[in-house]
Amino acid sequence: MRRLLLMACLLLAAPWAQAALQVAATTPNMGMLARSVGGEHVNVVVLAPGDRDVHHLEARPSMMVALRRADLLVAVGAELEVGWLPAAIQGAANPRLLPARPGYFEAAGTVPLLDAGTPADRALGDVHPEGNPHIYLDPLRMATAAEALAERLAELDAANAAAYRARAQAFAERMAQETAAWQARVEGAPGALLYHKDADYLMDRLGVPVLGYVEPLPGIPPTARHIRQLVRDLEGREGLAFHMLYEPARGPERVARELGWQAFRMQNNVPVDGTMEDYVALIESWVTRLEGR
Amino acid sequence: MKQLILGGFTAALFSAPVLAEPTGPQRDPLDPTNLRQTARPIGGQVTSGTAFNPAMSVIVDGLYYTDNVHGEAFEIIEEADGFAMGNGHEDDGDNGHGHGALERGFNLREVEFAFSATVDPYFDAFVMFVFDGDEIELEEAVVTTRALPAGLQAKFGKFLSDVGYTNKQHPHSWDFFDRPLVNELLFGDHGLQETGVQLTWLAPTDQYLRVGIEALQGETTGIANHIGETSPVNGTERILGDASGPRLFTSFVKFAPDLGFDHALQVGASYGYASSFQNTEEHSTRFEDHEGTASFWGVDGVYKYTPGGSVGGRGAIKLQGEYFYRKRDIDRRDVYFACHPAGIDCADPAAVWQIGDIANEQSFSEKQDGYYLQALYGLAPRWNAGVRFEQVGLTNETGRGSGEQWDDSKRYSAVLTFMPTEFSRLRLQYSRGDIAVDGERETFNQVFLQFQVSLGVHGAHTF
Repeated sequence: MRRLLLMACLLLAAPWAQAALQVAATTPNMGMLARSVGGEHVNVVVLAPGDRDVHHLEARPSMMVALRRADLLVAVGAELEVGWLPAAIQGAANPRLLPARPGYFEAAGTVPLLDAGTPADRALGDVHPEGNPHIYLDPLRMATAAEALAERLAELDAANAAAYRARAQAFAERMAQETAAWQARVEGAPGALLYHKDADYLMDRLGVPVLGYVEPLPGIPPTARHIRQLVRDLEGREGLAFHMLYEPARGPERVARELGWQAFRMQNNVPVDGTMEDYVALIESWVTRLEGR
Repeated sequence: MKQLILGGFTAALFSAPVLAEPTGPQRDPLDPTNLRQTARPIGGQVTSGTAFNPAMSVIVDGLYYTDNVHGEAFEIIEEADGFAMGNGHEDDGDNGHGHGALERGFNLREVEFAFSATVDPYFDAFVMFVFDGDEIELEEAVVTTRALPAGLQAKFGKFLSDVGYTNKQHPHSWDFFDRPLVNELLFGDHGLQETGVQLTWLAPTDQYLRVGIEALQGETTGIANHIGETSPVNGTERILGDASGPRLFTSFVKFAPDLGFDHALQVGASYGYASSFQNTEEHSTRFEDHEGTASFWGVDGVYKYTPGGSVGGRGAIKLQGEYFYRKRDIDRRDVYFACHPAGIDCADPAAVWQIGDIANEQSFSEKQDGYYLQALYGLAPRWNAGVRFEQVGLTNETGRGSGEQWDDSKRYSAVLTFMPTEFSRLRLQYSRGDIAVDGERETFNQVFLQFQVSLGVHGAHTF
């Protein structure tokens, strides 16, 4: 009888014992990171898909539902989500996810940021004085973030610490290996014009020069004068023009047409349920365009 | 000797850092490739920070205004049948220049000063002052808990009640220049803004479900007006007495099904009860006193469509509507403070009423309601256009005297907003009012050209 009871208890407890950590990720890339490091031990919900501008989302009830139940929030950070994430966390009434608690993870907090220390002056556009937050297109920074995330997961779920560390290491090794190949392929590439400073980290990592930005200032749409200026400055140079799928195509296409370049509509996120392979494919899509083959 | 001292000094100088860091530069355990220039604490948060000062923001809200009724449009709204303070009174109350009335020409509607910070691990605080051109008022001063378990959250202080949808929004978050009529006429110029406590619970369900209750002091003119102790007239007590707070209790529920990333819908319902509603009107010879209770209920809904890949909000749709119903159960008792008819000698046998006489004892109910529906559409990146239809007084009964039914009032608005960045907006609004005043239809046209900027660090807005 006692054995039966014990069995029943164990059976009842079993799903709890194996219950995966609930992770809420602000963007698909962060979801990919959590999935890559957490594997089967995490259950990832992505708050917003990659087809919209993460600067301008709003705190929605569905986000609060996800955050209410999450054990861990994985954000890009560095104020990229400042327009909506604090309100969503506040609305979720989940103290585990408050900044400075173990349940709050910012990938940008684990790596050095470009453009840190720019003046906090909005005459310069939508600036981030703490640095450019768009770290997610740099495979090696993502590798560092993965390792930091593994430590965080280990802190929350010590039983699977070894698995998290191993997976993060595998992710980091893969990124190092792919990055070396990508760098070799784009060597000598003429460079690219970006719409916003959202692919700077990738260009920096690949060693491809950024030839300019279609936005005159971060967050400010292009003016005709700025476009003319870009065309004048880049006259006679080789290059490509990129814009994200939610950024208007007109400016980059105009510059590309005048200069005889090609303009490309790009993604900066994996699919909502994306994996490490999707992330490799995402970077690959940029590298393919840059090497021009 | 000198050399020795110098050498020793140099050695000390160079060895000091070594002593401080006996193991040499720390290698970051998370950075085997030494990618990072400086080790960061894992999971650090990157913000521009405020070094313990609260995040501060200032919102400047100015406009050019004109109407075709000599600037009287706001007075007409205040006199809407069934909603005006002394409605149905033979003699007009002193309806002065009300709050929110604008002059024709340039106006500074308000300057909001908002401060927010985390107090300690347990509380967040938010304070907002509003300068309306004449005086500074405290709009909100509220402390919210951070660490309650199980989806619970409590707040206390002065705050905008969470009933309905627009009520808790500050003017800078509105999609139109003005507050919905139903909110202004049933509650007050600031909506339901009270001092008290609120407790909310977010259910751990797959669909968003949030319920809340509030215990509020009860000072909002439309629903919980409080006058308090009044001195007797010639020994006759008036029915208005001091009632201790809290005198207003509200509850609300909000539900939002998960409709994917492109669509969002939230519906809500709310109810409130005021244990004391008092009003008084000074006539030529008597005080007319109302003492009773009041209650309201309402439903609200908002739907947002945000297309994927949309540039700067183009193609986005927002539909929003609210309905509120208010009932006041009132005991009326008038007390004469002068002999009646006015100006008569009290000893005159023609003086029907003497000082201290009680008259017009009656009990009755007042019922009013109203709703609005509005739609906004993202015309182009950074531009949106909207329309709003409002109706108040579909049910419109007052009870004093032999009771009366009143006509409804309507307002139609169209708006065009340009947002150069998220920190500034320029708005053009046209409104046409069709207001019932003493049984007559009063119409007016209004044009608002509003300019609003937000300086500093302003907290994120909720749904």
